[in-house]
Amino acid sequence: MDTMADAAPIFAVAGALILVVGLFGVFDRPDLLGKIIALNVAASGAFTFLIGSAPVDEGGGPDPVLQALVLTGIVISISVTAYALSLLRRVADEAGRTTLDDEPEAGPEESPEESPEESPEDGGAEGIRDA
Amino acid sequence: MTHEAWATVMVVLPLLAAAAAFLLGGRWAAWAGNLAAPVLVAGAAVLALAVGRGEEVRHALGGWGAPLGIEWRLDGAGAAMQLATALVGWGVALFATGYEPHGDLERAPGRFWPPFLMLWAGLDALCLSADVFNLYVALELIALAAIVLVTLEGKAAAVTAAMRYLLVAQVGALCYFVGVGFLYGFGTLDLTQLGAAVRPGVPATLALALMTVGLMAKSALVPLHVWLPPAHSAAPSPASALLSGLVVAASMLVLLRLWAAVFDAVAGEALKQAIGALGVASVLWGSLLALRQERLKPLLAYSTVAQVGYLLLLVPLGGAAGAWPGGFLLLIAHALAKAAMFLAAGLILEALGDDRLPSIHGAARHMPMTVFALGIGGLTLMGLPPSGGFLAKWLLLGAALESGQWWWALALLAGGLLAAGYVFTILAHAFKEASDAPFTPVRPWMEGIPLGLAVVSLLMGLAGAPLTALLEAGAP
Repeated sequence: MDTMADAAPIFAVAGALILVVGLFGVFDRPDLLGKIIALNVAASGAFTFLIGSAPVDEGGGPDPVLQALVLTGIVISISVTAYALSLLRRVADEAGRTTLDDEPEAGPEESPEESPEESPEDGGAEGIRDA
Repeated sequence: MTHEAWATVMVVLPLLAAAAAFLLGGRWAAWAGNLAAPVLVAGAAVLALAVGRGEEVRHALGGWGAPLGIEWRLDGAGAAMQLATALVGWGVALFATGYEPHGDLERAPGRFWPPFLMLWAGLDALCLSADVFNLYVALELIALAAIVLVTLEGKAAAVTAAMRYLLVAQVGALCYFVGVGFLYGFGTLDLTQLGAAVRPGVPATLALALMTVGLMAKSALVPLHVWLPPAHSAAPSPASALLSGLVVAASMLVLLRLWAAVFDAVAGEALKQAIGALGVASVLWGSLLALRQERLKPLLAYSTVAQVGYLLLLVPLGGAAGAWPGGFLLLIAHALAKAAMFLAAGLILEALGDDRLPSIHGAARHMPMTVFALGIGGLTLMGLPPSGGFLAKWLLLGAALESGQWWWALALLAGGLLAAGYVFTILAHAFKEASDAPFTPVRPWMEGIPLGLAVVSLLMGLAGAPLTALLEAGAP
């Protein structure tokens, strides 16, 4: 148990670094898949950091509450990733690109399957461009 | 039924209804939602009355209380938010039953209901949660359901907006999660116990910074607001009503609870003033952008950015008398008014086929009830008497003057004037004559739903005394 307690700060520091690298990736990567993976890297960093910085109980064992929190966090992270990936496929299908560029590209936007539906009813979903 | 039983119903019933709606699908899904909704309204009313009378509503799940187990505890603000959720939820359930679906929703009717009811369960769980980790789980449930609601139309604009929302919400949630870890260093996750245990220092400051930034991103406060207008405008109108009225309010509720219970004692005066200034920036920037919009739904979405900004004033105003009830009154009055206005916008879209402001000319003649609902909802946004927004701003003004921070009073007045500007822009277009516009009649009972919600937000100002008493129950 001593060795684990000794190693804990290393885990905490490494976790914090991974978290920062991941968050940087979320903002820096242009492609959505890269952003989603970076989000997972950041989440892994956060989990490692929390486990590494957990208070140690009298017997030198790990703190069970924090383990439970991280476990819940992992479950949520997996579900969100699964949903994000399926949403990415929809973005690729509908928008014809896998980036978040604000300016819609001219080509894919006017794809044949979209054009017949260009009716005024689409107002809510169409042409939302920030001022 | 006991209060514990009602508290359980508030979370379990919408979850069961969501599962039923998912399994039944199609037209039957609407039944699941419409059967659950009145029960949830009754439950929210029973719990709010109990909390208002000063009774304690708490429930240790599975018999395990804090600090080890999960304990639900309903304070006045949570009870009021739950009631607002129930009223908006009921209105949206009725509205969605008659709403003509577009896009993906048209191909697969019934898809609206599972995420809607899941969202409702998440919101109720959030109102009942009394510890920082449960709040995190509820926030995640809400965010995922909200993102699904944004995608429902299925068009490129909608799925892209949803993707941006997902990334922002997850980065925000991750920041919050790490903040929870720092707070756990004080030995507990329970909000009340944390308030007693927390000590100023590096961990508390890091928790404050991470959780505040994370929740500000989720609440779309300037400068983290850019994801909201596309997402809220691309969603189908009943979903927009939920997103702008309730989802944004939920993360603000968490932020304000955290500040009141934990961070107020940790933060210095300069930081509190800076956060208040960010709130004012949201009010002004959101309002100015709302004035520049050419479409009804984005205009309403930018107005949400502005209205949420007022709530950050609770950080610098802190314990001043009237600040807490005033802030939450604004939160629920805005929830009802903005939901009403988005539903009205949905009807206008359906009747006139377009929500560009020049295209809504003639709306006042064709559908006076709907335009009336927009106008009454606008009264709350402007803060004119007797609306709930007026009473809320009155209380906040009093708190600002009483604590000697008169500059926040100026922000409140400027925000009201700007709101008047964009509300009158809508009404001016709606009242213009347009004889040749094609018009599809909408069902009168559907016009009554936004009007009903708007009237409730208007009359809240008249029920000021009991509402303030409710909001002060369990206030810091």
